[in-house]
Amino acid sequence: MAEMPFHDRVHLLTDQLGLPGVDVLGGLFDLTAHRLVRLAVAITRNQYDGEDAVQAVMTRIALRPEPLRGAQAPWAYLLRMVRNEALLIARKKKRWITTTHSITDLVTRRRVDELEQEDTHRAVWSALRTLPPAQAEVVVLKTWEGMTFAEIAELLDESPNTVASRYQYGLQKLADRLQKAAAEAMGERALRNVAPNRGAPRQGASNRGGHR
Amino acid sequence: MSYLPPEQLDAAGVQALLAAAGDYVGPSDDLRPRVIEEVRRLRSGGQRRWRLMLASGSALAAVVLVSVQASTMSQSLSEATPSQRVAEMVAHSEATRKSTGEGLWALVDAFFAVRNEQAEAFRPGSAATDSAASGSAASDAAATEAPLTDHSLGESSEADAQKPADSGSF
Repeated sequence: MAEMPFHDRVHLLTDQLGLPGVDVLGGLFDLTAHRLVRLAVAITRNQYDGEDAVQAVMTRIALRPEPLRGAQAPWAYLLRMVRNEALLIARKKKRWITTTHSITDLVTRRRVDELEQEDTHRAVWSALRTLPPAQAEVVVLKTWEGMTFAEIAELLDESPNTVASRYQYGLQKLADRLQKAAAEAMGERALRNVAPNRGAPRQGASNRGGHR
Repeated sequence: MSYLPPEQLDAAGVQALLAAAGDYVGPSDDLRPRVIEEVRRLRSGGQRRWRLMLASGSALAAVVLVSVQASTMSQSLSEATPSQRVAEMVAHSEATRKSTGEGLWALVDAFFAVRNEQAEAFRPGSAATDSAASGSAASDAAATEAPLTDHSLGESSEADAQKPADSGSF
């Protein structure tokens, strides 16, 4: 099972969904939840809303697995379900969605060897959340799901040209925001390097005051 | 942005950064049990709802059946004449008694004997009806003639009896 390609594993699990005595949902969740939540969070710009979308879809396919089982490409079908649910939630909560540069609500994971890159990851996700959902979903599907523009266009019911232009615009915006973030980070680092030199005498003075 | 200078952030650089950040955000730890629990809850709720629907459907079918039967019975009773209604009721009670094994057959037999006599008596052209009719006709004729005779006789005899007296006395 470990050697099987991702799409085949999804297909295998969806074929077993709904069979009596077989609990496939847990396996399907373990296999797909990370990717689905990633897409849903990019669309809703909120961890809880994204998880709600994934939960709603997982619940629906567990109770009525026939449509997913009958789909020719179950993974694309699953992505489309999560995308539609996330858009629905985002539309409902439109008033409360605010574009924010903070990602404190996101559930993040970092490996030990990626500690140095965490700032970069945070900046990328922070910039991604500022994109419109239509561009963010294309960026996610293209970059992290490795789909072609034709596949994304079929999934989104759009033309490949529209999808490609959204991707280009999205990347351009991301580049602008990441450049700004990088500039700010460099400025902060420069300030931090300067600040200890300025603060040292003051600290010494306070220590002297403490001795009195 | 600790290690990538801003001038390197072209399209390829952004794509590389995006690809590297793909696993940074994921589901929370409680999402899996939440999903499993929700599915379990909905499944059990669905079974309960199914049982409830089945029970209510059975009850509804029973009510419909009883009401249809009652309406059929009341229709047949309303269409029948009063004597037929009585006969049906008696037959029904007889059937009930037979089915329950109760006695009192003498009363039922007596009732049916009376009914048969009544039916025989009111049947057109039967002897009982003729005799009863002729008897009543004769009595009617006697009733129309005799009183007149008796009355005239009575009156005349009384008049005759009173005349000599009256005449004698006057």
